[in-house]
Amino acid sequence: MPILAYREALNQAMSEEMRKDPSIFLMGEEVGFYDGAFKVSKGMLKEFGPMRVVDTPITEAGFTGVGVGAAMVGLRPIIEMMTFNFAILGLDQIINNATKLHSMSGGQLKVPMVFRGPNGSAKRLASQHSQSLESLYCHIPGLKAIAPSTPKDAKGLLKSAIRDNNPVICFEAQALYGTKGEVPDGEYTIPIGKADIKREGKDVTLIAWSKMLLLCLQTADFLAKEGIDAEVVDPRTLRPLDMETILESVKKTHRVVIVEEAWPYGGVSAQISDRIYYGGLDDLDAPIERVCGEDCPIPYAKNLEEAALPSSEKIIAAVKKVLYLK
Amino acid sequence: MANRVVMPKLTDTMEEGVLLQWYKKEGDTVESGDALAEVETDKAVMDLEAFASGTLKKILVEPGYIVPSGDLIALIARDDEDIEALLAKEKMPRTRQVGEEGKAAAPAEEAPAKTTSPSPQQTKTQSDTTPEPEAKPKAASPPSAPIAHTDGEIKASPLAKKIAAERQIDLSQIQGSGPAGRIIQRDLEGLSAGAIASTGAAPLNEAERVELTMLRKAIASRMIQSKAPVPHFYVTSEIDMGKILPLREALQKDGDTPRPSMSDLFIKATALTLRKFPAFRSSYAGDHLNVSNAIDIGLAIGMPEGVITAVIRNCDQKTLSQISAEVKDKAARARVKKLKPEEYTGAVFSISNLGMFDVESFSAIITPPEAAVLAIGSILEKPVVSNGEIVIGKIMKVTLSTDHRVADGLQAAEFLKALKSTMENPLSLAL
Amino acid sequence: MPKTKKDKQGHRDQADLHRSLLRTALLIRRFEEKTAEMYALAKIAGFCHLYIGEEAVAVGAIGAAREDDYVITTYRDHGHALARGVEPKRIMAELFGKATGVSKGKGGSMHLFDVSRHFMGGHGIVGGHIALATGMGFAIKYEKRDQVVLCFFGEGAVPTGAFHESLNLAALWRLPVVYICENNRFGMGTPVERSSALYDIAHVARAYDMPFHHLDGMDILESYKHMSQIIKGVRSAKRPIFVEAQTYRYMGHSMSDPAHGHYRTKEEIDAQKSRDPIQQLKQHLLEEKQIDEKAIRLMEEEIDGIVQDAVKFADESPDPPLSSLMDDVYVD
Repeated sequence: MPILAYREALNQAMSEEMRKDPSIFLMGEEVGFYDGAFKVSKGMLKEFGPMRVVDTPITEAGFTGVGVGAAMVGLRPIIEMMTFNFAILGLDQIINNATKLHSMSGGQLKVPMVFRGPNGSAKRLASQHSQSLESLYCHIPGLKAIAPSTPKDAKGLLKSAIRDNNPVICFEAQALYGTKGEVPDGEYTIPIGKADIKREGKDVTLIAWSKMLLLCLQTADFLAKEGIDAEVVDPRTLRPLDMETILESVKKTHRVVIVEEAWPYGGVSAQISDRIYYGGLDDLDAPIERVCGEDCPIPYAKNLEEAALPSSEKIIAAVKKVLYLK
Repeated sequence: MANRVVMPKLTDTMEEGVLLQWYKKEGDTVESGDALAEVETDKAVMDLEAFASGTLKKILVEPGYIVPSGDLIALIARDDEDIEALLAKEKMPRTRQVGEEGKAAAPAEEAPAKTTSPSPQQTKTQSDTTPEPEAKPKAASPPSAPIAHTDGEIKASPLAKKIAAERQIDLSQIQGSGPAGRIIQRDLEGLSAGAIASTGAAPLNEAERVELTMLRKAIASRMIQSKAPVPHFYVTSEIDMGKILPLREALQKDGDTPRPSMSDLFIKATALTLRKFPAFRSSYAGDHLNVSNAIDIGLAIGMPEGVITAVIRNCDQKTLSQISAEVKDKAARARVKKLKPEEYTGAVFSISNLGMFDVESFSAIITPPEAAVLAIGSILEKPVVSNGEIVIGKIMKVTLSTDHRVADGLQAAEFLKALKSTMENPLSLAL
Repeated sequence: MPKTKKDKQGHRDQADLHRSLLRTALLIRRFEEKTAEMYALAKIAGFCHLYIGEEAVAVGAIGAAREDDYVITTYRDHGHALARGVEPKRIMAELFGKATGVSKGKGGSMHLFDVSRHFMGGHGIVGGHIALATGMGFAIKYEKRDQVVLCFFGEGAVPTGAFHESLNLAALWRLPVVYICENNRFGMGTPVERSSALYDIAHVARAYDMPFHHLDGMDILESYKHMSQIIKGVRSAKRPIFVEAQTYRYMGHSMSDPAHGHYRTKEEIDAQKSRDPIQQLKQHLLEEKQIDEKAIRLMEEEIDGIVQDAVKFADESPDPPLSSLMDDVYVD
């Protein structure tokens, strides 16, 4: 299998779909002439031209709404957010329009579109550029949300998102764009709403997505040296959640640590916890531990930023707690 | 002159003991040999007997505390003796409470602190690194037993609750090892249907902590299970083995028949006796008794790390040789831990035989939900009167421990009498 | 006025067209008067914003548009929906929250949709739908179609970010959108003088190099005539335009607000009513002999019948089944 960078996998997903379906276009800041702020859309302007790879001014509310409006009348926009911090400016369009129109029109309108871009911290960017905002979106019925952690998942899931007839948010991460991995040759998709067990284990279930998934895999190796066999589950889709796979794992390990870069209050990990308590209470031998970002804006200073984010040390401590180890 | 009562060192490995309950209270008169208190050692729950007669003048350790062997726990003296001077010179016992959280293990209403006794010196024994929580005032609610929950206050992980429900384990009798005494999966490891067991012992000071084998944990809590809630009484009888020994020898010579052990003979005899005494094959269930028609007898098999009870089913329907073969097989497998759960659980009556260890007699602890257990001692040569002459007889002492909620002394005596009769006229056993 | 054969709306001649405009305006007026009555009877609930007084804008503009041009508007949307030809009974049923409503009872007064008629909705967030209209314009350009988008909003939306971002994009990308500002002089209770730095709202288009036009929003024929020109221009030039229609609402901001009180006087409303668009048009048609009193009476009776039928239909329609609660949250 070819080895691709995460950003290349995303590029392939979009390009392949755009070749097949002329109603798909990519719109956002710097997606065209600049080749993408993070080079995800590299070369796409050249291939598809400026009507399908559309540079916008810095106008998130405007182009997000333009995307929704275009979707209402039959196009399939991909709206690139330079980061999800900026997408907040377009949040009205996503929450009040994209997620409401199908229901509010009694099913007459559809909004088949993708909002995608990097989410979360990316080293020393300080408070306004480091936020993990997935819970904001996952709260909203009408939206689907994916958060792939590997190039293979990124391509397969983004293709599914583009083909989906609902608005789908795709959370990427700056730290992931350069990561490499095997990507199958040829056509494939990964279904939305299907989790993946990234590492099998029997002692504890670690649940994480996007770049926290990589941290968990690394941490699982550390744990293995201490004789703790961690299973790492990647939900991949944050809404709808694949609770079946998660609960199967819980049934096996009886202990859960959920790792989320975002803040703890009302986080996606809280939602997953809730669903585990609901569906797997009798399988739990310990309360679920959540390792989240600390409940503060992400600071700039190196030591403070590191302290604010989940780490292997924090995960290991949480694992030992659910295993009742000192 | 005052006599010191200390936490005994009852085994080579015993470093400390848990004071489970006092049978006597301050001011009570005691005779040498009286059971003063119940103590949990690393091996079992035992009675602490008085070595002196007098008045129990002072109790220094409350139930629920762990005391190093050799430390003073009480004083027996003459009623009018002044012990204050003596006490002032004594080193107070080094105690610590069972369970990380006293509260979880001790409902306050059950065991309020005795205000008359001086506070035990609550040191942290060997190590200062012990994780024992210090915030809890220990004297506030010392537990009456190391494991005691009130209904509805059991803290157990949902998984532990599920396991308990599946295996019919009574969580109220288990001391959890999780935070705040939460019962967690590992507290139930190795326990199975009908067993009401757990780690039992409180988490000890880490510096001197010796992990118990699961079997040992199970035994420990099972025994506490029995002794704490089941009111035992004991009836002992002497059996003349003069006739059964020759029978045994005869059977041994009988070709392919395996030589029946003393235990085998007792299993068969007890089975026949149990047929006539339903109370001894029943279990106490609050407002009724569950009487078992299957006469499944448990035989305690001793092993280095503890005892396990091999169950022989329907003993009344099996021949002595069948029983003998089965016991041999199960005992062998028990020693290599190959018994299946159904082979060591579910007996209606148990037999414990320490005869091979030169034990004149002993009392066994009932395994709930059984109602009784028969303890078999060694055969001793004693002068007996036979046909008006004094001869050397072969005498065995057996002790029946009975759940007083199920049966009374009279029934126990009749049961033993019937058993004695069978053993002394053993032909029926050979059938 | 020159006679035509049937125009694109099927009018035989100008008189026919004018009667048709009058009829639409009357339908809106009577429908909304009945709506107010039904609201008072608690048949209708929630926020309900009436268009009475402003009919000339929607009647003229939508009357001038092609059937496949998109219409999108705010929560004050009954008039636009009726002008677009959405069935009155299905609008009333929607206001009643019934299963037979245009939005299956999920939208209510503020969210009427009839996609089959390219009526793209009543929208509840001030300014938000202006970006949607811009996106529709983008789609028309993307697919090289020749439709236009009529985007209605109040002057209260002009200060929003979505408005400005949209106008910039539409002008930058030359999108076929007619931005129609219905300046009824009050954003809820705040007069335009206290909300806009611009004295002349239409001048906002200058910031984006966009053509603009002032329109008498109380004159149906004026509105029709100018909007016809404007739409034609946008269709051929393929670039947006800004229209400020000066109009007036007689009622309160919504049914929950008084028509007059501390922010305006009854005298002011009465003065505006003297320019009532429907009275003006009737008068004009009578003077031009394009209609007579009897025809007006018949028209009124017909419209009363339609409105009565709409109420009856709505009243008799079933509530949405509870099983529909989770319908249409996601597209399967």
